[in-house]
Amino acid sequence: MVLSEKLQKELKEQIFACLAENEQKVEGNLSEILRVKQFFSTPQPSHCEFVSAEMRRKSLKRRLPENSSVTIFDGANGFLKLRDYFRASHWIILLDRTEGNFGAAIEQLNNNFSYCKSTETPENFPVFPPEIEVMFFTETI
Amino acid sequence: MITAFHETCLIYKQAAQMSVMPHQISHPVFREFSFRLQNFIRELGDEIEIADWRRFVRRLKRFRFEQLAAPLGFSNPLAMSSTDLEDLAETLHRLRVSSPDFVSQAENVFQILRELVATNENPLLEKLFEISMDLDKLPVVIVESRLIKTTEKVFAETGFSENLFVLSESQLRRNMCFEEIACFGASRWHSDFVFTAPRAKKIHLLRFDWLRDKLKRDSVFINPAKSKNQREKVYEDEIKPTDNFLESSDIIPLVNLADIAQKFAERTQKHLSANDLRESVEARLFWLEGRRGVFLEEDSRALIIDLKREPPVRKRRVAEIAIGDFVLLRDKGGGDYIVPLANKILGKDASRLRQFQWRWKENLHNLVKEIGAGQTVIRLKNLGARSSNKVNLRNWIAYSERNIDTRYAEDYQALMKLAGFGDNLEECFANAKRLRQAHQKAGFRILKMLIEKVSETDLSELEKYGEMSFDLGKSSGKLIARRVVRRADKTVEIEAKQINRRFRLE
Repeated sequence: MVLSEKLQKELKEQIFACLAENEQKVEGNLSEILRVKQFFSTPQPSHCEFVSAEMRRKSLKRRLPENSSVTIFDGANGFLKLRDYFRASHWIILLDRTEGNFGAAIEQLNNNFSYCKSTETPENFPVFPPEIEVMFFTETI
Repeated sequence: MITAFHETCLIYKQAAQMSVMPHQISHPVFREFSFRLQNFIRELGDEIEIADWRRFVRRLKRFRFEQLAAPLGFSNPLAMSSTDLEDLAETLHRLRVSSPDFVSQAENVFQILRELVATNENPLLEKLFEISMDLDKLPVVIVESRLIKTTEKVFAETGFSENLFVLSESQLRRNMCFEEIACFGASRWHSDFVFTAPRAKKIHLLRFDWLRDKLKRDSVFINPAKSKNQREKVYEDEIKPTDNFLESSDIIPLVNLADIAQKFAERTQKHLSANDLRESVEARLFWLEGRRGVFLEEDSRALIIDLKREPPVRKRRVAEIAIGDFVLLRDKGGGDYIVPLANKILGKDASRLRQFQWRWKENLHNLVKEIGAGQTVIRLKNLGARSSNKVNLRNWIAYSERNIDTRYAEDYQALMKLAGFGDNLEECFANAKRLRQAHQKAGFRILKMLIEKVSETDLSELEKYGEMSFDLGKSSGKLIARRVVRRADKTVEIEAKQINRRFRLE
C-alpha cells in the first residue's frame, strides 16, 4: 500500500467522538476535519493538501501548495527534505524515535531552536500524554 | 477492528508503564578471561599494530562480545570452533619468534579461553529459561543481526524454541507490543529506541556482573516543554556495577564514522599530491550491518530497499539514505553494478568506448595540471561552454565511468574541443550517446530484475537478519542488500576507486 493510501485509510477508518453541548456524542473521522484535496475523487472544498516526501524535486515543485499557513511534517524524512519549501508557514513536526532519520531531524530542530525568539507554550494547549516529548518555539526568519 | 491508531495508542500506554529489570549473572571463569584479556590488551600497547597480535586479540574480543550479546554458550562451535582454537595456537606459535615479549601473557589468556570453551555452559540461556518459565512467549532481542541465526539454532537444539523467539532491533520499529522482552549486554549497545520507545511493558536486561552499564534517559530536545504526566524516573532499578568492572565501550569500541572518513580523506590527500591523475569525489560513509563500511558518492542515486514503502526497491539520492534503509551493492568485492552490465551490453565496442572516455578525461586532466583549473575554465568558456566552473570541471574530468557527458551539449562540445577531439565532434557525441544508452539500459534492467526478485522474496527475513543477497542471473551477478546502521554526518573527499567498496569497520 502506498503512503497516500495508508494515510487516507487512517483518516477515514478511525472514528473519533466528542461530547456536544447537549451531552450527545458526535462521531466523525479526521478526514472530515482535514479535507485533504488529493483524497477527494471529485473537486470539493478542501482544507489541506498532501505532499509526499518521496516525490522527485522537479514534480515536487509543481505540486507544492501556494499559500500554506500551517505545515504538518509527518516524520523526519518530510521535515528534513521539505522544510525549506515551507519557511513562511507555521510548523508542526511529528517525529518518531524509531525512524532512521530521527537523530538528524532532532539535530536540525535543536539547531533551529538556537535562533528562536520565544519559547512560550501556546495558550490552551492540551496536556500531552506521557512519554511524548514536546518543544515549542517561535523562530526568527 | 484494530487500526494503526489503536496500536499506536497501545505503544504509548506501554511506554508509560515500562520498566527495566536488570539481571546480573556471575561466571568466575568468563570474568577471569575478560579481565585478563583487557589487561593483556593494555600491556600490549603499540605492539597491537603487529598483524598477528591484532588478529589474535580481535578474535578473542569477538568471542567475548558475542558471549555477552547473545546466549550462544561458551562451547558453541559457531562462537569458537576447534579450527579457530588451532589457528589461535598457530598464531601464538608464530609470535613466539616474531614478538616473544608478550607471548607468555597471551598464553595465559588463551589457556583460560580453552577452559571456558570446554565448560559447555550457557549462563545467559539458563537465566533466560528461568525468566521465561511463567511466560507463554518471550521475545529475545539480539543487538547484532549476524548473531540471530546462531541464537535460533541454540534455542532449537536446546528445546527452548517453544517459548523463546528471536527478534532483531529493526523488527521492533514496527507497531508491535509485547508484555515482556529480553535483551543482553549493555543497554548502550542497543539502539536508543529499544528503551525510549519500548515495545514491551517490561524489558529484562541480562548481563554479566562485571560489565558496567548505565541506563539514562535525557530529553532529545534542548528545551523540552514540561508535562505534568512525565515520569521523573523511568527505570525500575539503577544497574549497579560490582567494584571491579569493565566499561561496555572496552568490550566493543564505539565506531567513530567521522574519524574513519577523515582517515580516508587524509590518505586521498596524500595520494593526490603524489599523483594528480587520481581523482577524488565527495562521498558519505555508511555503517552497514555486519560491521561493514562503505562510501557512496554523495551527488548520485543508489539502489535501496525501504521496507516501509511499496514497492520497496527504490533509487534514492545518497544524501537522503537513512538508517534502516538497505543499500544494494555488488556481492563480490563491491564496486559499481551498472558499469559491468553496461560493458556487457556494449559488447566488443566497450573497450573502444571506455578508452575514448578515459582519453578525453586524461587529456583535460593533464591540461589542468599544466595551466591550472582557473585557466581551463576560461578556455572552456571561450569555446562556448555554458556552465564552466571549477566544480563542474572537476566532476566532468573525474575518472568515473558513470560520468559520461554533460547536461548541456555546449559544455560537452567545448570539452571535446579542448581535449583535442575537435575534428571528430560527431563521433564524440555518438560515443557519449552509446555509453549513456548502455548505462540507462543496464540500470533499467537491474532495477526491473531486482523488483521482480524482491516481489517474490519474503522480506521479513531481510528485516530480521539485516542482509540478503539477490541473484540477478549471469549477466548481472549477485547484489547484496545490507541495512544501514549509521551514516556519517558529513561528507569527505575520497579517491573515486573507494566508492561502493565494502570494508570492515574496526
